[in-house]
Amino acid sequence: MSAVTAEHDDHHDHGPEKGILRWIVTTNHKDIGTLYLIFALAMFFVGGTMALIIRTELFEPGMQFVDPQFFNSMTTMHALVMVFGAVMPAFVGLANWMIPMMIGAPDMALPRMNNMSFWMLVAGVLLLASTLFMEGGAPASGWTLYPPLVLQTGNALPFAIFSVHLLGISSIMGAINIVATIFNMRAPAMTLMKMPLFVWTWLITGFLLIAIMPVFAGAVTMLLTDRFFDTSFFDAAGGGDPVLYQHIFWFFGHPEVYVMILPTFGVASTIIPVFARKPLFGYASMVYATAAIAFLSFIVWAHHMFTVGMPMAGELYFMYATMLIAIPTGVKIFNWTATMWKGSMTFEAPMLFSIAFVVLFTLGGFTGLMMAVAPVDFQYHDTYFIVAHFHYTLVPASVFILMAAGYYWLPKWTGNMYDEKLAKLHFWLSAISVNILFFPQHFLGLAGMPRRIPDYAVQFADWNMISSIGAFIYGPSQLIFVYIVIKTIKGGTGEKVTDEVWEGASAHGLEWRLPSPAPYHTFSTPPKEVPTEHF
Amino acid sequence: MNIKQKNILTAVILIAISATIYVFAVLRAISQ
Repeated sequence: MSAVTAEHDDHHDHGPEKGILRWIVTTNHKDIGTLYLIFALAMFFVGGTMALIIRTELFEPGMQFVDPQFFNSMTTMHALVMVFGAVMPAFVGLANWMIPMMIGAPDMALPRMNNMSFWMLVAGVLLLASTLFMEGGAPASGWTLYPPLVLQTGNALPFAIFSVHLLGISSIMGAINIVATIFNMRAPAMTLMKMPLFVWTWLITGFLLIAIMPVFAGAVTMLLTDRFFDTSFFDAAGGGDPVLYQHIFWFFGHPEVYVMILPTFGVASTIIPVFARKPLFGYASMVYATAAIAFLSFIVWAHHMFTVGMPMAGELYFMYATMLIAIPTGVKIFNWTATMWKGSMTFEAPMLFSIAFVVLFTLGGFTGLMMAVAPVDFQYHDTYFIVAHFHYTLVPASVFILMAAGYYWLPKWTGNMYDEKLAKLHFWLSAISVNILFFPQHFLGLAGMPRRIPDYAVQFADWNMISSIGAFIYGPSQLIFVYIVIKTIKGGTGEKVTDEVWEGASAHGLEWRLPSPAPYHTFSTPPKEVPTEHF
Repeated sequence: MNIKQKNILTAVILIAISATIYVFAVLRAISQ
């Protein structure tokens, strides 16, 4: 499966197109990776602004700045933009940039489809954003789009559904491209069990996406027909069942969580060994743990619905199945810790963000385990405890690792070194403020504060104020990252980086054997040997 | 089979899988 022929192709002998056309028609994996990353960063700030609107409203009890309908639109749009516009595209961007370079391939398997996936993503997100300006406002039902509430959306509903379809098609095409690249384009020496963990996690994530996005597309299509074509899939009055939607949604929604976290694990497994100056501990167990997590993600969906009135056997099954996920996840956390154990560690920004990820993701994982206990979940359900839990798994986990990845590969992408002092400032401001922002939300949830409300009882005032202060520090701190990225592109510290950039990195990944910055076309002929440091 | 054909075949198989899942999800909902 892995034979790559070095066929001569006239289209690959020239550099990039000149001007704006380069970015519109490009089929180069590095260009498309850059487009994804820039788009994701922009959406991170759009979604972040929505989060700041939410936290500003919740700074004090009482209605302050926005009306409840708009507040609910903000919670919905913040989630949709962050999930589909920021985190997922950011990881697809990293996949585009890095997978061909990591496996010794000249480009992605299907470069034209790659371009189409990106521009369809842009169209989908813009369409979604346009619903903010429509009569009746943007969807305000939460990102889960539960009926019957979502069916009360104004003119925006069909546009939001169409945008979900576009985003789904874009994701599926991206996933197909990644799977095809990994299966067919590897250098002959790059056998499956020699692939870097980032490539492995993306291979498994690709299959997850191919399996789940059609399910979500099916669910929203049924919402569309319920609203406009008199069907009653989810309408109890017509013989349907709104809980059926929840089952379908979460069959998609739970693996979707792993779509965002598995590549996170992959990047962490790539960065930690380099800065610990040791091979990754337990490479094979990391691969099997990733596959196990992906499998389990398909059989635990109803833990999101413990309070809907399932039979006891169902509650027990989903409780125990969910708890099983702690085992492969624990394997990973153990392996990262064991990789660092007695390593000659240094603490550059990528490593700092990665260590913070290991600690804070573990915290978010533990609260997940708490919620897996069905009888206890009745107290947590729909409270701020849930908000605290999934933000711990997404912000100081996925987003921190995205920042780590940015700092780690930026010198390879640009040929320039970023400003380490500023990056450390970015890290410490982020690491402290993210805890001020999300930790108090555990207390609020345990005390009974419901999620998705613009106003609350006065006993929740103190922790809400502290949480909002955390948000006001965390949000603007991220501008430091933008400044560092721009500065690095423009020359960085002035220090020209070596090909391997980080000491010993070329023993860990093929990308570090390429020149810095990486040339427009790489591995026109596949490398003869590949790193085996992870054994 | 050259690499280009292999890539297209992989894509076609994966598209068929995802289309089948879409149809199956809707049919399951209809049969509820």
